[in-house]
Amino acid sequence: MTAENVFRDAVLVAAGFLLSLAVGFAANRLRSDPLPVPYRAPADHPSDEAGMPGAVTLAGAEAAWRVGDTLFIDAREPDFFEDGHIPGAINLPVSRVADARALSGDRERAVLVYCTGADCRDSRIVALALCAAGHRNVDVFAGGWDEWTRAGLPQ
Amino acid sequence: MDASGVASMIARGILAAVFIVAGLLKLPDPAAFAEGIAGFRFLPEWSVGPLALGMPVFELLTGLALLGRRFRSAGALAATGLTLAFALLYAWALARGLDVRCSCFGGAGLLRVSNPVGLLRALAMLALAAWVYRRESLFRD
Repeated sequence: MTAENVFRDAVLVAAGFLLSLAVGFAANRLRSDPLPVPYRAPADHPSDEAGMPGAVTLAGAEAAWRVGDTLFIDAREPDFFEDGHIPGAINLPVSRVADARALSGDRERAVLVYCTGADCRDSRIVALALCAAGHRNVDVFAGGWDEWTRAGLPQ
Repeated sequence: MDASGVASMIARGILAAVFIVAGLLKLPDPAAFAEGIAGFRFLPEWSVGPLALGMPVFELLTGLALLGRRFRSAGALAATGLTLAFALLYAWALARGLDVRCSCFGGAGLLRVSNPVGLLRALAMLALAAWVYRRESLFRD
């Protein structure tokens, strides 16, 4: 393995990467739904319009939990749920989101969905599935498990 | 062909298959892959779009180069670099306790970065790629 050979390979790799970028961009222009570049992340908080989940802060989540008539849904995978969750929450991970239809019949009941924290999207996915299944009072607690535990709330 | 030649062929076959499958699965849905990359919040936002478009092609190219003869050692170097980058990114995400999807195989990759299996997988591929590169650059024509 001589330095010269490694250098030659590195030049080839760099050329291959530039070629890949060019091909990727060219192919993107031919798509019917091209990826916008620069990339724009989807909106962080779902709007509160009809049929869409609303957003709830830590204070709102805690208040709802203390009142006690809101159904809390933990959208994390079962391993995380078993390690700890908001007391009274039920587990409905994205992998079982098809079960959203099988949830209790009361479509008017307040539902609050959460996952790990600001970096996860599962709560939003599950909340949208619940809305699609006809639930009319669905909110997302974006701060999630991280914010709940950091605030020292009951587990 | 000696035993080491056979081992190298098998190693290249495994690496090539993984890279080609990973590339092909990501190609049809750059938006899902872009969302996966952005979820790590590791790379600057300007780089997300170009990477989401270029990376699947580059993975495909790397896999094909490993299978052929002409660009074999460059392919092995690219595979080493990629797996090293993946392992570092994964270790960083694991240390930070991120719970995002790995997106290793596009939308079909449901493995979460909080699962250390992915880091072991990346390290195993890194070892394989580094070994292949060392061997290919010693025995090149």
